[in-house]
Amino acid sequence: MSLRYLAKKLFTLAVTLYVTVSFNFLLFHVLPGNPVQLLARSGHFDPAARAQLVKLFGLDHPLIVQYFIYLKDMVHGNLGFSYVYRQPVTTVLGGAIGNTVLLVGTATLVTIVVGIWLGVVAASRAHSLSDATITVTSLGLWSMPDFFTGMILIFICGVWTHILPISGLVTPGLVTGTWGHLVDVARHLILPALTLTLVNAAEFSLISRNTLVDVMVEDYMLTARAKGLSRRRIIWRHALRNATLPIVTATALYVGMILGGAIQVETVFSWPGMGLLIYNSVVQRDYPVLEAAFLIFAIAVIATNFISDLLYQVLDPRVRRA
Amino acid sequence: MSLLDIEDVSVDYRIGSGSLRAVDHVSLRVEQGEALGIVGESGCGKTSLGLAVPMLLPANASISSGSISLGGRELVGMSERELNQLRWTEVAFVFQGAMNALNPVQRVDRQILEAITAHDSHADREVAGARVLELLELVGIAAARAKSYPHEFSGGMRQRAMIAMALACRPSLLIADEPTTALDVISQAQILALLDSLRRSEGLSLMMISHDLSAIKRVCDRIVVMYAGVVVESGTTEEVLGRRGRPAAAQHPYTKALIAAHPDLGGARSLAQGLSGHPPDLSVPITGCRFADRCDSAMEICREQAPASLSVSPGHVAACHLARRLVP
Ligand SMILES: Nc1ncnc2c1ncn2[C@@H]1O[C@H](COP(=O)(O)OP(=O)(O)OP(=O)(O)O)[C@@H](O)[C@H]1O
Ligand SMILES: [Mg+2]
Repeated sequence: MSLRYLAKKLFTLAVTLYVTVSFNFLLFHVLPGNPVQLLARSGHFDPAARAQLVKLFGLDHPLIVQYFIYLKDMVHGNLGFSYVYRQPVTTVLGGAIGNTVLLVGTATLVTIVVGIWLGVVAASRAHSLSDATITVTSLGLWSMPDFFTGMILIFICGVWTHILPISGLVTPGLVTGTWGHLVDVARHLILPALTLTLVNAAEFSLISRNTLVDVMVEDYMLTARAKGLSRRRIIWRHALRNATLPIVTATALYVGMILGGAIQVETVFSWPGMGLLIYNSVVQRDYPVLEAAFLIFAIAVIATNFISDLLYQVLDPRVRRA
Repeated sequence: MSLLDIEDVSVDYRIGSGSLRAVDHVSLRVEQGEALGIVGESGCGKTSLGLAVPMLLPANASISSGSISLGGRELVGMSERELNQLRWTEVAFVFQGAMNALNPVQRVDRQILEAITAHDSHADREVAGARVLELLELVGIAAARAKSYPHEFSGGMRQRAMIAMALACRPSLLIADEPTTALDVISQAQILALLDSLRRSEGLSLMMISHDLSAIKRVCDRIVVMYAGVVVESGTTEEVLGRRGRPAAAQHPYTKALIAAHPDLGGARSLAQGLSGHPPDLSVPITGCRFADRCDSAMEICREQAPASLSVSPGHVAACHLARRLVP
């Protein structure tokens, strides 16, 4: 990968981030409705208090000045003050981000491993019964909304059989050591992670299956067979290695989807992460938190695409520049 | 005993609800050290026959009759495991349309090395690595280029790398399916010269599939002419195509038409002459001679009865009602 290419990509990344940040500002400052109007909804609102609030949120400045203040705060890592929690937004987000990374990270990892594995199984026996089973099941799971899958799991595992906790991050009031705490969190993690995994692994397996089926008919696959390589080697070394390129692209797109899914799943399972925070902030009109959460999600998606772009360069010798 | 003995082989493809017979009861032999050429126009079953040898036919194909023996071992019905041991060590393949025959994301030397190590798991990596460079050198690719990716090679180089890879496990038989089709004239000549010299230096037997008669004439000792899935004529290249002042003694009107379409074989310069129309549809059974519809000399019997193979001279066989024993 050439430095020039990297420089070009970094420049694009910087521009994209700037545009995203600015759009986020517009979304929350230009569109009708601001926190002061919101607080004033109750009717009798002391004009003096109102003026004070306007000043507090910097709403007395012209929009363009507000914009630069916003940029300056952002550079200093100041994301504002939550109305609801009465804490800096960074503090509020701090805990939530970790929990979401835990949930989404686990689900992503399992999704990629299981999805690719199912794709390989289906593709290497294309048009067989196991292929049909995997494909139809995947289509079914894929077409179900995350919250619906989550509710079914809650019903089966929580309400019906009581084998797994269905809500929150830890069991309230449980006193154990570090190890016990980890096990408790892991048990709480299973159902929300499983929900996210089911939907996304289904999509992933379909993508890998179809990519692999396309790759299998390439001339070099016939060469690999003619060389007398084992079936296993043919699939994992030759087919999958060539199929990784579209799969990497799919992974980048998938991060956007899984973050969207996380909002639903965290809400359904009361998992105290960004998704639940966003849901609560929408309900409680906690604009600063929402603003920051949107921004973080957007940055996560942009960053993943950036990484997948670079990965593509590394993986495909044809686009690699000396 | 012949190295390769194809006996009465038929290849069927399942298509939709019916099936198509691409190779119809074909028999042929390749002797040790011999170069056999297979010609015929597009769709006559050359590739299907070639792929049948190492059992590499696509999933919708089946070998519905006959036997294929290589070095005395029967390949039809052999387990995949046993076949994998034979592939590349006994029979290597250079594929039609080699532009994409090398894995695009693997370096060329790695791909050749893989062929060696796959069949000899105890191979010393250094020895094997040296052999890779030696092979590349043999086909005229400098060691400095060994670590290239296929897309960094020209078409001719790719084909030569493919040939180097085919030689990696010292196979006794090399099947080359239109090894020069996608190349320019200069590269074509280079590849043909390479195959010809390798045949002698490596003691290789060659089954070369082509629709280019002059390529066959350049490299092969014997020629088999296929039409619509059957062998219509076979004999020494010298006799069938003519060589060193001797005129072509082809007996089958199809072979004659092919020769006529090749200006550098002394024929008239018109492809249309004697070869209008298309080969018949192979998904319906055919009575009579398959070539009758396109044959200028077709008689009544040609449409009623498929001609038997007649030995017109020692080693020269033609399947035509008009064929007559040649007076020596
Ligand atoms: N995978 C397949 N499925 C169905 N039919 C096939 C398949 N491959 C080949 N055929 C048919 O079998 C017949 C013989 O094809 P084959 O590729 O062996 O011909 P060929 O002589 O190699 O032609 P060409 O000179 O174009 O390479 C053709 O009628 C073709 O349409
Ligand atoms: Mg062919």
